[in-house]
Amino acid sequence: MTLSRRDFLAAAGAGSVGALVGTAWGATQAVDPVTSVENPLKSYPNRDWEQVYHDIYDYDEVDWTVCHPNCTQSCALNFYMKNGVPIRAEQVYHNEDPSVGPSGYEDAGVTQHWNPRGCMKGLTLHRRTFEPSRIKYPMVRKGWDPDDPNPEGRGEDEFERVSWDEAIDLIAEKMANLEDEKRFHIFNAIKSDGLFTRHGSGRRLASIFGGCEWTEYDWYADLPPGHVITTGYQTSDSDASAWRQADYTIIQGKNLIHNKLADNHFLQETRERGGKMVGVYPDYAPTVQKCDRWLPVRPGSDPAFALGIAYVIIDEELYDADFMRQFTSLPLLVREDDGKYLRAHEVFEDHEAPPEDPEHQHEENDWGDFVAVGEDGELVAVTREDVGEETPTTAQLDAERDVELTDGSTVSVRTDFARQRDNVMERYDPETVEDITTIPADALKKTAREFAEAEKGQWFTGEGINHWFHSNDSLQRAIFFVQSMLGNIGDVGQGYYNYSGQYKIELLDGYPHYVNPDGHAAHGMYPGYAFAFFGGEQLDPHEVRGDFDRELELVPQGDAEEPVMPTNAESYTMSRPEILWTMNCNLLNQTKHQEHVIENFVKHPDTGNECFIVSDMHMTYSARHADIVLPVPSWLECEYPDITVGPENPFVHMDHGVMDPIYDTKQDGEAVAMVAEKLDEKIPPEERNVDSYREYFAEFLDEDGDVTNYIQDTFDRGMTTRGINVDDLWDGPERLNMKTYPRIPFYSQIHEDRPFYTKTGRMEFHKEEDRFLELGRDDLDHVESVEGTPYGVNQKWEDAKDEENPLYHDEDKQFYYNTPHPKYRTHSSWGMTDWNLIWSARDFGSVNADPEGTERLVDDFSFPTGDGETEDAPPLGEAFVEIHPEDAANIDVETGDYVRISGKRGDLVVRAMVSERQRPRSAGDMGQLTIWHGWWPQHFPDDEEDPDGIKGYNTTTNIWLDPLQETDDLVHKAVFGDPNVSEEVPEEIAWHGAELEHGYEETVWAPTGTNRDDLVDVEKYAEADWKPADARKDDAFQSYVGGSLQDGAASGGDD
Amino acid sequence: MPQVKNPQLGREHDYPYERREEERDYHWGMVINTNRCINCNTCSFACKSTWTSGKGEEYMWWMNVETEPYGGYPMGWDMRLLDDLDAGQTIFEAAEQGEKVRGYIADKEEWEYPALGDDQVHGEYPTGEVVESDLEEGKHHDIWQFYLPRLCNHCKNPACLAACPRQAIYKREEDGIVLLDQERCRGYRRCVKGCPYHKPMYNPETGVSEKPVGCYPRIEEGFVPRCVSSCIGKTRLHGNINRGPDAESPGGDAPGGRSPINYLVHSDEKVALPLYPQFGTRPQVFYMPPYHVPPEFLTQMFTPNTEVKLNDWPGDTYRESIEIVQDRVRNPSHHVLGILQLFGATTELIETYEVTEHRVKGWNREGEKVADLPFEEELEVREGEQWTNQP
Repeated sequence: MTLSRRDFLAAAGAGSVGALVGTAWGATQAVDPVTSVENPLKSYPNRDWEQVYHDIYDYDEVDWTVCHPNCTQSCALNFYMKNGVPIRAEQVYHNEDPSVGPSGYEDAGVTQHWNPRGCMKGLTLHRRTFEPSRIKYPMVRKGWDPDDPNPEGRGEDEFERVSWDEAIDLIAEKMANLEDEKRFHIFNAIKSDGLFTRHGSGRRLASIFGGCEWTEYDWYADLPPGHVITTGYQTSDSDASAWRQADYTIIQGKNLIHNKLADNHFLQETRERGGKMVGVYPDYAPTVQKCDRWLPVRPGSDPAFALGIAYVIIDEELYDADFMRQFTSLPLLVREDDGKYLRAHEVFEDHEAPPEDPEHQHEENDWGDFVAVGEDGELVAVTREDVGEETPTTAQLDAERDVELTDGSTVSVRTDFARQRDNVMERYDPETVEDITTIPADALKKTAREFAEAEKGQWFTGEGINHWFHSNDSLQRAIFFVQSMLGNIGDVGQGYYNYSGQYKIELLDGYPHYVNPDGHAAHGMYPGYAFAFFGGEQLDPHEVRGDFDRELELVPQGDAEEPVMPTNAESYTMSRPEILWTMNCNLLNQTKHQEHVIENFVKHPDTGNECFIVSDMHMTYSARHADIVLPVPSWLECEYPDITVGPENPFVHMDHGVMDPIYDTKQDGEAVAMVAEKLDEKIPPEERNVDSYREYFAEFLDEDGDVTNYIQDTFDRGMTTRGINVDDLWDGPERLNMKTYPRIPFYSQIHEDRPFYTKTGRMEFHKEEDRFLELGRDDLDHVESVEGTPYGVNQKWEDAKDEENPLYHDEDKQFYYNTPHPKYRTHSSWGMTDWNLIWSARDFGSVNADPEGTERLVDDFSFPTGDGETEDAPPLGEAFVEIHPEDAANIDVETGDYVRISGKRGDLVVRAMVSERQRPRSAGDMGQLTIWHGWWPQHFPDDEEDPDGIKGYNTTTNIWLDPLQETDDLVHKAVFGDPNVSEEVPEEIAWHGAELEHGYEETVWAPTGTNRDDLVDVEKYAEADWKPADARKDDAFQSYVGGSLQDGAASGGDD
Repeated sequence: MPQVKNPQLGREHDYPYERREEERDYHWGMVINTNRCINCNTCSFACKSTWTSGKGEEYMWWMNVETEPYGGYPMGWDMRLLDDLDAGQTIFEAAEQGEKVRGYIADKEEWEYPALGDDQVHGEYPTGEVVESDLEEGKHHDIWQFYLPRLCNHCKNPACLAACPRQAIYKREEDGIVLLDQERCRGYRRCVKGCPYHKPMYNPETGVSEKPVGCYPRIEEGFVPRCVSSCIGKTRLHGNINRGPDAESPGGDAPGGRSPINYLVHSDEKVALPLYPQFGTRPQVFYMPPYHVPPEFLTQMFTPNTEVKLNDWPGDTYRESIEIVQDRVRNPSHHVLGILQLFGATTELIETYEVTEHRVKGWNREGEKVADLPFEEELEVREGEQWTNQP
């Protein structure tokens, strides 16, 4: 039956009236006597009925837990229970009734400024718990056999219900039969929650078993490598309460009002306190609403903006020379011949040389001492520790000369500042920057002057920019350059923040004690390589790394068995996964270059991945492709408590369930423990890595076991948690012990003259590592994108500007594809929760979606359970892409029509929403297409030309790996431990004695998959079958928006 | 028909019922700072999960946040009524023959998309330009949006109450909350038609209309409504709008005088304005208007919008009123900034308050201190070599 939309609505209406007439309560009411009411404005006779809403509001008890998805925030919530079922959630406040549970954040020693925390997602946790996409029991794919995995059937085969014991046995058996333990891989997406009794236990298992652990943070482009390059520290973020104290905020490409909801108010409050806010975005991102000024920027050109700001600061001498001398590499001399920092032993006879081999330098933490020019013009040796007030001289920032070396030769040197200045002054004057970025030069100058004048200036960037090949390092380095010229580092209200990813595991600094027990540590494994090179078919490394000089021997070819790595990247663990177990991660939905990953890594007959295990709450796209599916409880149902910490608040939370599980679920930790127990049965003692696998999970398995012992032991091994009693966390969150509250990155560097975590001990701008020199990226520059540009790709502006990107000009791929974080979901979580889906779908979200769409959606929203059963979820919304009206008109598309988006790597069909906030192609050569990320495949329509094709928003995206980031030479701080004080902390602290590290380290240094630097085309696919009204087409709207809708009104006629 | 005084309009107009002779000592009221609102809709979800998660209520959002100018739940609700009303005409005066109130029934389809226009923006893309808001120079964003949280206003001249043919809607004596008697209602839907804010809604399952309840079970216990306590943007303050400067201490150590929301709305330093006061219902939710948005739109939305200014708001014209208030909101006085710190500080209703140089305090209706916080938390630095911020 085909109904028109209007027919459907009429029919639905009639049904409702019918239902009404038949209700008993309609009939009984009709005979009630009617009391007369004289004046209901003054009084009302019978108010007993008001009990109705008291009853609705009523609850039996309150219990609390923590909502902690990968939004990085973690919020304590009270759940109001009736008959054992949570009926609603409320945020906790400082020690207030009607909370019976936590003390709120008062016991964490913060003020009421932090109240309340917890967004609409936490408020629908109970609805998410009861939604139909839940996985209800363990299942195995029918086509899968441990000896004949038949990967082609993934995503298509039906599942069979199995017992937990069977499922666990299959996993343990497969593990026991591995020839190489390293081919057991655990992937957990979130690095700072679910640490003990959830996916963190998977890492513990991988460690004692000798397997690998994957990291999403770096591959997914959440890691901002420019931070590590400059400071040696993974990401310098402060507690949110520090934001409020800034006088001036530049926020660039970060939609903070959508993706940091809980503590966002601290930023909004800056403006009430006289702060100014300037936004740099290609589109009118919702955060622009809060900005005093919006500078529209060509996507991918962001580094040039920061360099333009630097130009004005240098040109007008607005910088803080003392700060630069004390805390940066800018006064240090760099050799002109080889690009290395001049070392003290090269010019001073009596100065000891560091080891010659860089590998030995790293081992001994001795990279030599450095040289500056003193006030008097004499050369002065500067050690790594000679920072801040201890800098031995008032060094000259601007020096250029020949120096005589101890071997009698002469070499030309310049200070780092002279290098950066000369380059910036030559290439990044505001007019040139206007050509690059489309930001008017005047506005840039004005912004630079105001920012320089502000006492406290902070700068935000976001993951959006991280996803551009060059922006993720170049922009970040350039921003640090500006911030250090202005002295905007190390104090409250100033700094450079990224807030991307749930990576702040370092804040729980005793954690290695749990995940790396007795010195066993899982190998850190990098998914980008797994996907690109370990599938059935591998990609051309040049296509993955950008078209770098093919003659440069950076990118050796390999084969499917051997990792394809540049030289000098030996620290990168490469292991082809045979068992891949993902926890808390919708890997295949969220992966970039999705078609390649599905077709080659997942479903190719030659994929090495023989056993794909997915632990999840929901039947996600990833779970559908699994061989073994394990159901986990929601945060409301969990049996074991667990710990979370986050990057923008000072709290440690412990969550715990509030209700009994409704399905046959087990928390990850228990499942892992069961596997460990089986391993003891299956692996003879002499072949084990440890005496007993079980013993590491005994608290889960023993009758009298208590998993909080793991937590307390770990707390006792960390400076941030020592003194916190885990029992106190049952009553509410506590505050971590940091140097400062609010946490200010580099406070000790600036106030106590501690070195930064670099070779020089300073924020480094020039980089001397070979890889940087080989690629010509040793100094601060803007380089055009590897794909997302109309100009010459992968070149500096003076070369790029006169060239054409053939993909843009010849193949007409003239749009870039923007997939920002959604607010009603966290990534793909809550993707199927009814209210969240209605709101996520915006103009297409409704409890009564259209009839034809309804049919389609009902089909697609069904979730496989065992043996071909399905469970249907209501059709509530669907995905859409936003496109500027001008670009939509060009292809004859109106709101609601379907479009096809196609790029080099795939295509998709999706509804269009015409949206004035998008950047039109006419503004900067590339038009913008925005799809909020995290949609499920069920939210997309079928593509009639490719009915079996992959549906999703990631079909056109890429996995780009920057060879700059494939090097072992970069020195940095390890995840855990501050080498500056590692001798000062007690011996039982997990990182006592920690030293600087170098090379690959999970969540610190690895190539970021710069996933969205790609071009696409958009064309009309089909007319809308239905659409909601479009106000733009309403005659009255123009009067309304101009304030003149009322005849004879005050506001009318002004314009 | 009786006449009622309407200070929001600075004149009298028709209303079907006589008003009380004296104002209540206590009346439900709310202030919302739109500049802090981030459109997370936590308020909407809090409200819905508390009150309207039953059958027939699926489409109901008593609380919703709309993105102006394209949002609207139901679709185009305000445009349609503004189009029907001449300036200087309340919905009571514009009522058609046989009706008490001018209104319309929104189609089912118009209720179906609560997130319509969410986060959308209006204006031309600023190719080659920048977008700037600078109140000193009279500049506002020329491409713009803002978030408008919408809820029942618990009006002093409620249109739903006026429209109900069964007198099933009343205003509570003790707190002014407007309720719809679920036992007496017969589902005529006159309130659904009459409320200019479209907050009474019809339940097709029960055949009875429902309207927001002002969270009275919470108010009776001294707590603020769910949409206020759940607001992570700290955009809202709830309290007694009728507590003026001469009111006595609620007890204990609490000072007397104004409630904090009364100060924001009724003092000489007015910073919060009613939504569409021209409708004539005297709504009791007041908005601190967005300062980046062009004032002509806001004059239509937050003032009586007549050429001649009749009420006691600042400025010579309503447009001037808007601009003055925008400026006060962008650059709040120390006192207003102090009150802003009470937003979202506690779930308890703050009856009176005190703003000093460095601290702000609030007391509940029993005279107990329930909020006490500094303007700014002091930086704490841990002494000792072993401490670090990069552990």
